[in-house]
Amino acid sequence: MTQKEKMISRDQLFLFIIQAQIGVGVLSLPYKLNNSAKGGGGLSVLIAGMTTQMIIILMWAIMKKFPGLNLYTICLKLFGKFIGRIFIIAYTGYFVLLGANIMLSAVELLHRWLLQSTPRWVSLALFSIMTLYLAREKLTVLARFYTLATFLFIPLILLISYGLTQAHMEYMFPLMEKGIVNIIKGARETTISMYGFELMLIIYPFSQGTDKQKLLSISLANLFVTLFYVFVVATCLTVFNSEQLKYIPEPVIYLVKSLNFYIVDRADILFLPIWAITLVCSIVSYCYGAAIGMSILFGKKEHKPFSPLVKVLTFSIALAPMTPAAVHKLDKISEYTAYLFLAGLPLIIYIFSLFMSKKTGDPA
Amino acid sequence: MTRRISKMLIVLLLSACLTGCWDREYLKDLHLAYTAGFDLTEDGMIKETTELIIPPESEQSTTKNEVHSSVGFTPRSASDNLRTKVRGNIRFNKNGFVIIGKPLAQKGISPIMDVNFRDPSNPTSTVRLIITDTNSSDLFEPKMVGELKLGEFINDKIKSLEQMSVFFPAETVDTVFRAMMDPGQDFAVPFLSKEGDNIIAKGVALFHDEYYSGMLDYEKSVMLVLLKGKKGNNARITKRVDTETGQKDRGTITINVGRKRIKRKFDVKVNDKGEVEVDLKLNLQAVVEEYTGGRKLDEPEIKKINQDLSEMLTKDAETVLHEIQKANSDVLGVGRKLIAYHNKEWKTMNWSEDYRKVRFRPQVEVNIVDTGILQ
Repeated sequence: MTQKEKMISRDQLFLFIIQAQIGVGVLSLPYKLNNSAKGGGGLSVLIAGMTTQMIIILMWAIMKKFPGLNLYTICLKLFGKFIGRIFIIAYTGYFVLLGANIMLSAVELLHRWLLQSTPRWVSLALFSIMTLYLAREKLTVLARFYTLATFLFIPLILLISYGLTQAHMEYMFPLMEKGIVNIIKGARETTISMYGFELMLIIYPFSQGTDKQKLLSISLANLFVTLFYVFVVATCLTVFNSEQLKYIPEPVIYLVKSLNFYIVDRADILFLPIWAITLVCSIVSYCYGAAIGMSILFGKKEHKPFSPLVKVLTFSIALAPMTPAAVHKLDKISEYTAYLFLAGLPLIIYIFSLFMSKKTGDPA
Repeated sequence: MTRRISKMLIVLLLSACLTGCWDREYLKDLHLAYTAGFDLTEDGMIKETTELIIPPESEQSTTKNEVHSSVGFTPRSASDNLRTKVRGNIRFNKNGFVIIGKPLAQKGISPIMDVNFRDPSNPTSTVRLIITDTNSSDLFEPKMVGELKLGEFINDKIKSLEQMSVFFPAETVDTVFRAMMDPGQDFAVPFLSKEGDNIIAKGVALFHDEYYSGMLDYEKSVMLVLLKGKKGNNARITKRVDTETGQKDRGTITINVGRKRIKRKFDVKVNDKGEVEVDLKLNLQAVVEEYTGGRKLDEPEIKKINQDLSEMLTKDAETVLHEIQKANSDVLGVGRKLIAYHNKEWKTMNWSEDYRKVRFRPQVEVNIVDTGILQ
């Protein structure tokens, strides 16, 4: 497990977390925030970023106690074979569910905006095949791909910033119109677009550097994502007024669609495929996490044979909901399971690990 | 060897699956609608009139245009009915104008615009909204204006008038969507009318919410654009001044205020009585383009003319503000300022009524900075 060639560098860790975090959620984030926090949406994102940071520190504290182990092996060590396995199954299931949810949201999005007459199962299958290729590879391969994909943030950010030419600062004011309570409510919704950082539980032991350096990399990644979200939310809240935003569930794409320069009539057609690659990174991360979980569950060294199984699972979950209501339901389910798996279970693990260290006196 | 052949076969078979994409559309199969007009029929249906561009039959000849119309419950259903009349499929991907007749615009344009906002394949950022004096279908009557196709003609006309600050900044479907949803902002769009065989730009049509509520004539439109603090490349104003006799009956001056920067101060305040007061100061730097007063434009002369022009333009501004208030059209976005900076007071207001009570205090100052190559 701790062979040298499998380790990723600190920069790669940083980019990995960014790519895993930025997903499909941010595209509709301004819409959600407009419903709850209105002009204060930017503040909500900042609060959410801080909350995420606290969870990251909690997870880091767990990982620090067990050097060289990942989430699954920690579970086995802490809770024994039986309960530990239940934990592994739960986390694997969670990763599969989230992978499926992101994939479904991505495909829904592409269908609404671009591929209106393509059957859904086709795009889902294409996404699955595409992500399978990566998810069965070693972590270093993933990290290298994510590094390459990071360059695509440049056109994405440029396209969104171009929208600033139509911004009206006044649309954002008054910032505190809806009050603190609603801003915190908005923060809760934002946390859901932040997930992805929990993959640090899997990749932490496979990255180089001391514990402090790793925490720094992950925190910087979180900071980057938070600032990026603030930027996106602020742009959308200044370009659209709040009455209008109520009708636009994906304001980021709507914003990009309304730009036109030179020969490009609809910039969203450029934007979406580039964005899709970022989404692929998120999906792959979850599938990778799930496949690792399965390999440990069955006591195998390689996660490769389990990737296709994970892909089949995510594919079938994503195919199941047909109506928008069902899609929404899946979204809600993922949201609540995310609370459990992001904050609830890590907390339990952490508390247990405290007892463990007292008993054995040797955490590792 | 057999393995290699079987591999080849698999690859060939698989590539048969890759026949392309579901969402393709060939330009040659399509008819592009360049201009679409909407009217209300007597029984409350929507009548859509469209200018279609027909691809040339041979490569040398040019494209032709056809005008068709159809009736339906909504623009989309009217378009579908239209598809029964013409060969080939109609697409609005290249649509440049949505023209709405005044009778329909008075009843609200939101149902007409919805399909433009909702369907992602409809362009929004380049489509301009236009209101016509009578039914919009009248505009389509001769489908060629001189050598130009109707859509091209309207396009040239609107774009050049935008540069002359009659309509500026260009109101596209996007900006109209924004203003229509915004409780504190209304909009004004080009107002065309048909006189004989000519299509004439009469000024701008003012909107309250989604309803047509009045219009401004050509000169007032320029003033409105200036009051917004915007300008195209040119913004010409012609006034009669006479500094010697004091009677403004001799000597006509044309100034262009679009060449230099406009300084604008827009202050929205709520006083103790809860009344909204708006101070609007404009500082225009003018270039003299024509002056028939017969005198040399030296410093004292310019000073006098500046004063005269400032007075006259302030009065014009008052008239324009009065008219947009009469039309209940908050084109300048006073409400938006209130929402942003006086939110408490805004919540107690009923803007549809209280907008008329807003007290505007415009002040226009003209400074001639250039007299051309003559003095």
